[in-house]
Amino acid sequence: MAGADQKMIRLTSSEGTEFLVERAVVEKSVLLKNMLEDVGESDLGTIANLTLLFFFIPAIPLANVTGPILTKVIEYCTHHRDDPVVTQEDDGRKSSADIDDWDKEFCKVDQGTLFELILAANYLDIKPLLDLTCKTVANMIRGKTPEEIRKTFNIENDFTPEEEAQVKKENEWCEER
Amino acid sequence: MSSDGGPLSFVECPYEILINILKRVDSKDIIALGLTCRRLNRIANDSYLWHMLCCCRFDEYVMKKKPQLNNPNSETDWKKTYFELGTLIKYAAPTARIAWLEDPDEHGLRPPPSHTYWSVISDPRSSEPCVVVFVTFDSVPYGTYDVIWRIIAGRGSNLDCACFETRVVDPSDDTEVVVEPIVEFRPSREDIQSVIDKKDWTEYRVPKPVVVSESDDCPSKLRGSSYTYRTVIAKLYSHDSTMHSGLHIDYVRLEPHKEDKQ
Repeated sequence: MAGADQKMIRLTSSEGTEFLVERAVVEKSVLLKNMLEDVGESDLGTIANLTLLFFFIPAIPLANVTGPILTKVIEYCTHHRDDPVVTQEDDGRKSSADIDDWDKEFCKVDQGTLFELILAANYLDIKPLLDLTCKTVANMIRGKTPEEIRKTFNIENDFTPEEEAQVKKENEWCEER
Repeated sequence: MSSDGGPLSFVECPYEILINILKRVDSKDIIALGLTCRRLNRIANDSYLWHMLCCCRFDEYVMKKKPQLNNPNSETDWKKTYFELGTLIKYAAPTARIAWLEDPDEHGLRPPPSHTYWSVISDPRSSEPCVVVFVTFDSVPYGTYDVIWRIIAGRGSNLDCACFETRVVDPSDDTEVVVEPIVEFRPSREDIQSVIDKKDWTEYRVPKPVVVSESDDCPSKLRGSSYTYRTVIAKLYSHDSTMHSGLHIDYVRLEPHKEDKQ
């Protein structure tokens, strides 16, 4: 019954905001792709009975993702909809500097948003987005002293002075390498 | 959202996310992170993380040698292993200072897919008939080491025209003053028989070990440590114009020398 227009999917954010997204874009998420394949068309049709307007359009509730974050995720997936699927495991050894301009601009968000994006990419299983966001955070860490890292991420130093001295001592042997 | 309703912070990220981020930075960045707070200190000492870093940086061949580095009866300390391996193995690609031109290998030997490696290839545009590849080991503790080159050498590589040279220098001196006699080895055809024309990467152990001796007046000596650090430079060169393509260098490593190996 819903086979007539399987090209659109409705995604519902945690606050209940609905997003109408092309299936090809949604399928950038391995989680959602598998879900769509598993439930089949007729089941999706029944879920879609919620509103008359989108009667034939299946809806997927995403309780873990807020509206603003879902907006960003959809923006990313839309831009990268035609990218080939990368199967090779990213072992982190490749240079983290090779982020293209669009992606760099995309990641210019506050830290809270960036970490929420990482969680969403992890949950939805969108590997390129997870790689991009983790790379971005890794670039913020690289080459910094412990004090600079604390400042960057607003980390509270919860070591006692004795503990801090102990931890420093334990790591002395690897510093010169 | 974080537990207190504010925006999510770095420290509050789940374990697997922090590991995913940390595997992309250098070991010294992980050490620095570990010094910031208790939670990140636990993550920065995570055995799984260091195991993964070991597997990424060193290939299987090297990893098989790992048990010799640790007490086989205890659980592997992957963080320690990482730094021990890192001191004694240098991959040629990131440190070699000469870029070779790509050229089809006329001898039909292709290295199996691996990480990056250097291939020595004759450059028809260059009038310089010389080949030099060298790698630098920083912070080498004193001891006697075998220098091992992992290579693929085709028949045309003419390795018997080359010279393996190892020198030990004082890292605190910019002029690279040699503090030990330079070890030079020019292999004969018989010497390199075992590595010529192999289809896979082969380790070539230079028969002359290098000695890094202890010195009290070394300025780079660490306080309270029994180690003296030196810089070891391993070099492979040939001034012979007959040295052609077909020599591929993966890495050079130092292995503590054992007398009974002879």
